[in-house]
Amino acid sequence: MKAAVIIFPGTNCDRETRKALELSGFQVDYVWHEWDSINKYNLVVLPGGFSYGDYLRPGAIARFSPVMKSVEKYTIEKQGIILGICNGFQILLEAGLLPGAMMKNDVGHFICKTVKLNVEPTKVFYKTKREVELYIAHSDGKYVADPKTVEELEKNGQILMKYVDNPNGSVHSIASIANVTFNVIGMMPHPERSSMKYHKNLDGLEIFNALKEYIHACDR
Amino acid sequence: MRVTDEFLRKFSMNLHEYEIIVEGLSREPNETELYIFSAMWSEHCGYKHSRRLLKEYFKIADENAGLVWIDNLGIAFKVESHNHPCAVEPFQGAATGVGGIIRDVIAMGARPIALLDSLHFAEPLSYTYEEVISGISTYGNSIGVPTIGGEVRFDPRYSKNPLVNVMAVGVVKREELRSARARGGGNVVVLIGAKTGKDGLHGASFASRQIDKNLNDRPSVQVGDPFTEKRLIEAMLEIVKLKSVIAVQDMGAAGILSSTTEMAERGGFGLDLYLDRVPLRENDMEPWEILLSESQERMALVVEKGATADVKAIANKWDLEFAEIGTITAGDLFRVFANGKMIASLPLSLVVKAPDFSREISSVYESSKEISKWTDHKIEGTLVNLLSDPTIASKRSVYEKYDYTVGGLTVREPGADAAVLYLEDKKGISLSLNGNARYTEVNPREGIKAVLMEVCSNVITAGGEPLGVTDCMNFGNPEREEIATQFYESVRGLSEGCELLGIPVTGGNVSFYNESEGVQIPPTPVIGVVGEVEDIQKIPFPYFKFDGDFVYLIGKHYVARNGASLYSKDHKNHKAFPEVDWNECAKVLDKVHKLIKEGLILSIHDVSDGGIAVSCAEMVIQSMKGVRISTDCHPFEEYPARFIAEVQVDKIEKFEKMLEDIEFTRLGTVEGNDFVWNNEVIDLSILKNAFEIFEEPK
Amino acid sequence: MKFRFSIKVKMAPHIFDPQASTIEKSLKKMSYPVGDFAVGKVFDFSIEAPSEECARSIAKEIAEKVLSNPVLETFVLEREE
Repeated sequence: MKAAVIIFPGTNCDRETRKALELSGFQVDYVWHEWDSINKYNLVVLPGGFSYGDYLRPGAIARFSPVMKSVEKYTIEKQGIILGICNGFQILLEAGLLPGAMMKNDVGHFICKTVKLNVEPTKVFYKTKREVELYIAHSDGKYVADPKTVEELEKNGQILMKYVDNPNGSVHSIASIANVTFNVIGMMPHPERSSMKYHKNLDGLEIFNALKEYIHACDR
Repeated sequence: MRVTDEFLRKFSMNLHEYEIIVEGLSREPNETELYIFSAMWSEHCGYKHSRRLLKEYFKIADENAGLVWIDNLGIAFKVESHNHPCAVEPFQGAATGVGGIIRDVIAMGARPIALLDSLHFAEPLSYTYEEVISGISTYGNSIGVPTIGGEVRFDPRYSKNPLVNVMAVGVVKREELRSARARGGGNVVVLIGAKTGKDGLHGASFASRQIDKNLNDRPSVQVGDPFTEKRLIEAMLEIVKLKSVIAVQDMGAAGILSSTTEMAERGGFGLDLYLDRVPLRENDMEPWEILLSESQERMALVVEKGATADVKAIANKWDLEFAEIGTITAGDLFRVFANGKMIASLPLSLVVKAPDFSREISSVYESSKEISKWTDHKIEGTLVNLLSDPTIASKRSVYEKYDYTVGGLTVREPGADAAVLYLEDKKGISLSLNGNARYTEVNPREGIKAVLMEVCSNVITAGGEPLGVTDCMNFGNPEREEIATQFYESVRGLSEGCELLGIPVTGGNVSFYNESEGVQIPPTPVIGVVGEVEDIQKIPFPYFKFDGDFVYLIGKHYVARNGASLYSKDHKNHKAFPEVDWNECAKVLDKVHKLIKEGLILSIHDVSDGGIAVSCAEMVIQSMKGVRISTDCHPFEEYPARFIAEVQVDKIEKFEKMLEDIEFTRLGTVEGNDFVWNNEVIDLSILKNAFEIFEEPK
Repeated sequence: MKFRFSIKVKMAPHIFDPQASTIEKSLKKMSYPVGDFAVGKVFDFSIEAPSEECARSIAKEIAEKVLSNPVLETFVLEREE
């Protein structure tokens, strides 16, 4: 199973995301933001970081990178799964590939800590533990969407993870969502930071493993 | 040229220095040349009051950062100050401070993997405090380097002169190590990074004079661009792999001027600079402004002649400016060209070697020998006061603003004595950065040894073996005898301490003139230590774990009165540092390291501010496991090389046997849900609330 | 009486603004013919005061002391109807 990790100018979490994916059994390539050869991958990951310094708005400039045209095509043609982690999630939101937007945390500053998350029994993560603990590290993690969109997300089971103790003010404590066709996923917490044997726990590895299972299931 | 006071002030030099220049040139310098000397001979660049002493007492390799080896991996590390800019604009001053020290590490060819900061303010939650932390957080998080440790300390005398010392650590493979030593006549000097503007002009000399309210300090502020820094980091890590790259240097104080001249001079070569080739952000820049500009996010390289195309390609990929701005020449001449004309021609060695004003002034400090006794019946009041003292209280609200896990290498989170990062196989590194102005103020020579012992102790409690030291010497005005003495004694003390422990000082920084409106900072040397952790799975916990385990004090039991102890800071009595047996302390540290390696210690915490009662309380609060202590040890006196350790019952025999000649005391046991000290029962939640006084409500 | 003001805060001309520079570069890459980009903040508010002169002086003080950082920024104060 092959995965791509896209690197934008300012991406920071590429190396450990690659390591985590490899631990989960993926063969991983880096893809530079100016390329467009992402067709052969089962999973395309937009990792965390500060693309373009988070200038203007987080993800607002990266969404215009050449590779994003391919990402859009990839999602329309349902070639595999797109996963956006943290800044990656923000880029997907700015690109309109996921509904809603991110605002500054209610506390008004950057937060880095582990948080407990309820993993909803959706078709993506139905096999994982129902509660995991992962790191969040963000300044703009408050997920917002209009009430109608939030209602749709709830109804369709598009909400994949919710914070147990909402750390940033996200509506309905939303930490991770999928699009309506379940082939684009965004999550604010960082699974790659809980995937190696010396990390606090291996809940992140479990998330990547579940994604691998899900991709298998989609292929059938 | 008529040499008036105003003239000398314009170039921040004194008459004596001017005369040395005239003598060295056999003529009077022109205006551009004067600007060159004003920058290169400023305290900040020229290290006039310290260089000779540092060279004599610390044998440091002349590179951008210090280096220690763990197998085939070089750990590049250094601490640097950015105090004066933070006094004017704390957010940008702190941000650009991070930028500068990161570039020192990448100049070695190392990927930066950690940041630590030692911050000193007048009071918590002040504007300066918030802005500095915000600046470090914004810049460090943005470039993706985890800020994993450090400290925040307080004293009213930092009010107008906050101290912001930032340490960066990087990793480099042996074959990719880079130097800052130019060679090869005809080789090309390259500038890479951001465009050059008027940022920070007079910055180097700005850090060399006290902050004067009458001068308009505005144009000196540099704004950091972490996005460009990140691109610079990635580009440089690709560039240093090229065989054609001979030398690399950060452009810091006095930008193009200092970085290029220093690289050339170290290699024993000369230099020609062509200022017309420098990519500029502003149209109306004078040649001297281009030379001295402190625009951020730029580096200087020396590249083999004819082989710059690969470097240019990488710069283009990462959208960075690339320019060939000079040539390395044989000989000792430093020439500057602008608009087709030669505007400066100077002996390079004269430019780079500022005159020496270091002074060896000793002093004698009283030491106390009388054993300190705690005569109060109870400790709760003092213990609660100490735990809620801003210097001791939990810094969670600070470090949760830093991304401390980016990079995925973090093994141990902030909040313990030292941070631990993964390296390779089973190995890791442990890092700590601390200063203690209370100690170094009372006795610089002995105080700095105590600080060194403490930082090494921190590294040891995280399973590390100290390998090397970096220091940042923060002092007032060295032209005053009192300050020159403090500095000299501190250098001597650190040198003695390092020799005793068998670890080198690999590099560091000096910041003088931290003084304004008549208020001087106390002498504040800050020390950073890197340690090797052999097995990251075998690191002791920083807090108590299991009921029934024994609690020990390793180290001196009855200690002499320490006038610098925190609990007695408001006492009016005579301040003297205790007389310390440093050889014994070194033995204790070594023994503790061995005990940890043998797996005999389950949890451990070194004893520092607040003494053993505070250390025990900290170990209790983090896990909410109670303890019962019975001891006649002074609960709050501070003395170096002491540790609180938790040992499991089945390991006691081996543990006590291994300690043999080292002093140790059984203090009590981990048990129950209260903090019990000599039968005084203190509720854990009282201690927790005191310690967490600055944490945000959950 | 209520007086409405709008305060625009920008980086002072001699200070480099990386955000503005990055946005401008990106727009140029997308082939937009932009130049001279600056980024700032807009603050709109009303002041309760007996006269316009008085209100204006209060607004100016707010701008200088609180809304802008005089070390890095300049501001423009305008009365809105």
